[in-house]
Amino acid sequence: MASILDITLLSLQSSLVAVVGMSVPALLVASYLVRSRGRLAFVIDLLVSMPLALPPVAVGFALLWFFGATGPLGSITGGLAFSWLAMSIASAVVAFPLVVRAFIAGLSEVDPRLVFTARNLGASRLRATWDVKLPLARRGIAAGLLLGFVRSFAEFGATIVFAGNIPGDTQGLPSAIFSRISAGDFSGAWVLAAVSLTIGGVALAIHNRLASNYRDRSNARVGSNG
Amino acid sequence: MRSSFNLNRETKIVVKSSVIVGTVAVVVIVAVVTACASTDRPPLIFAAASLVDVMEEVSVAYEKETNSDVRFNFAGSNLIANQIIAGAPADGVIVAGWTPIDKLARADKISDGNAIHVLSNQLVAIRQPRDDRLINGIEGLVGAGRVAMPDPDTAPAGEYFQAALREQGLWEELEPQIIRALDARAALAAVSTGNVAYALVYETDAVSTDDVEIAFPIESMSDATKPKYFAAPLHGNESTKAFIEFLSTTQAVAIFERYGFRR
Repeated sequence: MASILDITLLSLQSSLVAVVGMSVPALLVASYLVRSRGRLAFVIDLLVSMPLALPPVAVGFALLWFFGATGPLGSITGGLAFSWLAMSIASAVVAFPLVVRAFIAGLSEVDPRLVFTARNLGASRLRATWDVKLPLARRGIAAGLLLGFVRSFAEFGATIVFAGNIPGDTQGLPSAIFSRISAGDFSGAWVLAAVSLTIGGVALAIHNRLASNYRDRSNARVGSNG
Repeated sequence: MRSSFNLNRETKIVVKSSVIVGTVAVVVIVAVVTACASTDRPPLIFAAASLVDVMEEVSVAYEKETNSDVRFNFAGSNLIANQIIAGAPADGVIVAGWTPIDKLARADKISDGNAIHVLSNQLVAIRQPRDDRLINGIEGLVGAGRVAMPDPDTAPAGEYFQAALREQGLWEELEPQIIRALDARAALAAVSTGNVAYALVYETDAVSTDDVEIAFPIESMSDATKPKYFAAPLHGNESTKAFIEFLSTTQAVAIFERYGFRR
């Protein structure tokens, strides 16, 4: 049996990769949704939020089909399911809507006049985003990444279907807890749950701290640069 | 809160960057998958979650005996069947009940002629050790409050209980009192946590904890309602055959019996 340390490291690896992988797409989607109110934005918003409205087990089966041998990407990604990367993908899809929501909250607090001014002063679009918009939204972005991490870290339903529960390969903390319970080893399950709670709790505490600072700050902001 | 400049241009940039990010992601995935596929990995056997510990021990014995390795993926037996039908890369299965075997054979993933019976279990009713009503037969449960059991629609254990209760003509009477749990473990937890007085579970579940005691066994009248585990190789995965054959050796059977399973 894999050790608690191995299981924890695998969980950390899978959710960190999920967070890194989500960050850029989530930022792109969020900054588009902050700016746009059109029909396309409405549809994209809805599509991105779908995993919130589905049981994770169903998300897992959708991924299994999508990346599976007979699915649309089957010929190139046939071996993806039941790998550690599948853990990251499954948990990323489930966590993605939460990250986008948090990013939207962060980005929408950035005064567009500041970005506009930077552009007027000759900054390129990339520079205005990199040097003005993102730094102003950094707390919201960090909060979103932490929230995404916590959700990925605790993801079970989509992961066990798409990545499986293979000790040493794809068995992270949530599926190890499931296995301990299935084996009738409740004390083993509690130990793993305590590890999971500790790591997730620390991340949540930082998230809550950032989110509350961020609320105070935006309440105090009256057209200042924050 | 919307900026007034160059909406179209920004949209284009977003679309462009998404395409770039998407392409990079696909390239990375393909690279990783190719890397994974090139390594020669031991056969992957999808096994019922109720076998987590016993299979771990059996595979260690198998490795000692033959120097070859197997890997397991543990989940509920019906979930396993559905995963494989959806394209999961299993080499073999060990599942509870005939339903998952039948499902896999219909989907042409295995041939049911290759499925062998490897283990049996026993159906029992459990209660909390403090319970003083001392009901000692299944008829006694009728009208005696809520009874937790694995859901017959999703869990093989539940199917066996339903069949056994039907056999004794008690299913219709008992059904209104039944609480359908996710699996036998969840039914056991309902009793061990004091939420429900009685539950129907496998004997192997019942003996795994001191929080519950066996109230009485539920005898199967026919062979069809005796709970069994079946193992089968998937089509074209003969490499798992050696391991499945190992499951019938005296060495493996001794391990099964230590965990309370029967041959």
